[in-house]
Amino acid sequence: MSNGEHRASDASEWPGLMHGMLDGTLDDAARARFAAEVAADPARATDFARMAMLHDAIEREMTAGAVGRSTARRTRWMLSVQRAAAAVAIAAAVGVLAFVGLRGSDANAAHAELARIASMSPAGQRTYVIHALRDDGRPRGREQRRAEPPSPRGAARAQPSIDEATLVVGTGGAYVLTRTGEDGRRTVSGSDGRLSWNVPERGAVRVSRDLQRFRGALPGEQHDLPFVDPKDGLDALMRSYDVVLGPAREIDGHAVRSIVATRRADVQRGPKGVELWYDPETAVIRRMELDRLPQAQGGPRAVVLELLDESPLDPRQFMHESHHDADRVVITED
Amino acid sequence: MIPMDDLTRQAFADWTQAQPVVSAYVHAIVFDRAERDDVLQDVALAVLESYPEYDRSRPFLAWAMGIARHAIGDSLRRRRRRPVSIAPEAAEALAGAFAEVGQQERAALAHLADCVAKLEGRAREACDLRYRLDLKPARIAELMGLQPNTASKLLQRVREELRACIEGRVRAEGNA
Repeated sequence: MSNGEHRASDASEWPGLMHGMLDGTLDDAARARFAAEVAADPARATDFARMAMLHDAIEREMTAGAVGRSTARRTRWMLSVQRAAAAVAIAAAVGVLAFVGLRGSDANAAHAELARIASMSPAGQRTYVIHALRDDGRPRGREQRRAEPPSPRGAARAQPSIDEATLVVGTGGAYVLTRTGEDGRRTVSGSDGRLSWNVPERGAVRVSRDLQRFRGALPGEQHDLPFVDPKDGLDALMRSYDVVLGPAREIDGHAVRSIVATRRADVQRGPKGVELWYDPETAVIRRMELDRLPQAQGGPRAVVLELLDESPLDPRQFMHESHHDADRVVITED
Repeated sequence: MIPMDDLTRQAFADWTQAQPVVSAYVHAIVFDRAERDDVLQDVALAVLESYPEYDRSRPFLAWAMGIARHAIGDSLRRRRRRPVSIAPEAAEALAGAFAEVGQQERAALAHLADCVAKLEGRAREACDLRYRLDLKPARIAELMGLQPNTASKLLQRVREELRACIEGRVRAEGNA
């Protein structure tokens, strides 16, 4: 490495070697050149160490979900720039849709659409109503629910059904799920992105720092296909499902596009089919169908989530204090 | 003689500080995310088991990196994975470099979340595909309609932009 000409050549090659090493794209010869560089030149080794730490930290940042400090900060930041981001997002959407339109309804276009949906953060909060469907695709309704035997888990004291529940979805993993049992008792569970909580009609309010703690009732949650933040479930969709672009149509006067996902034969968990109907400009999901859900833990065969309302974000709504009287006993679990 | 409980507590405290740096080192050597996590688990055990022999007058991170350098090979062999991807002298040089800059970088990376939040458009999309979905540049290129080399360059640019953003914030913090 003492040859000056060699060093000059290395200088232009070095960034490619360094980033190629991080992305795992170097062939054996290039990897040997990388190794020779870092072994001979401490500055190169330091340069790589710094970039590798960034590489590792980005992955942790991007996969941290709605947990923790950084995401909370990002959420706050997102709120402050939503208007500007919306303009950029719409421009990007138009570009991607042109791209998708040119390429047709193939799997790559569907994957690209899913990635785009994941990269966009709809402003405000959305309220969905959840319907459990019968085998013939019609809503089950209370009468059928009453006629059904209790689920295998919890026969003694059945959990409130997901049918006719409402789900309010905010940003940064914030949500509120409201279910009403057959006895008319209401159970509200949710998260503000920092704490998760459960507020039964009677008894203690429970609060936890574990954001997964009370998510079990959410559609898809038991099948690794959560819905609170559509981004959460996109990994599973891309890994375990064959996805294609479906038809476009109108829902409540809004033009929507669809993505149809079918579980791959070698995958055991999750609904057999998923359909997403989304607004191509805002990436807001207006309807989601989870079909042929596994029945091992009881519950409906299929559920549909329909968008009822979009409104400006109200962070207080996602705090447990907004859902119970001030004198209720609150147990912090951790 | 320090009682065992205190020693264990101290070992965990030291490891918690060092873990992000060691994780980055392991990640750089083994490439694959799942493999990194498996190997890191073995490295953590090796570090904690060797902790009673740690000379506390020396920097913990440098000592842990030395343990990690040897433990990576053992872990890969035990798990019957492919061998370490770079020559031993390069791995040693890198271990030294990570130990040297690790803690300073770790502090600077506190600004990463804000810088990631500033990514937009194709940079954001590429970053999402690479890091959240763990896709390789060739697959990212397919999804984004790019040549593989262009996707690699885009990822390189994303990391360089993030690096510049972090350094800018560190400088601004220093001037404040």
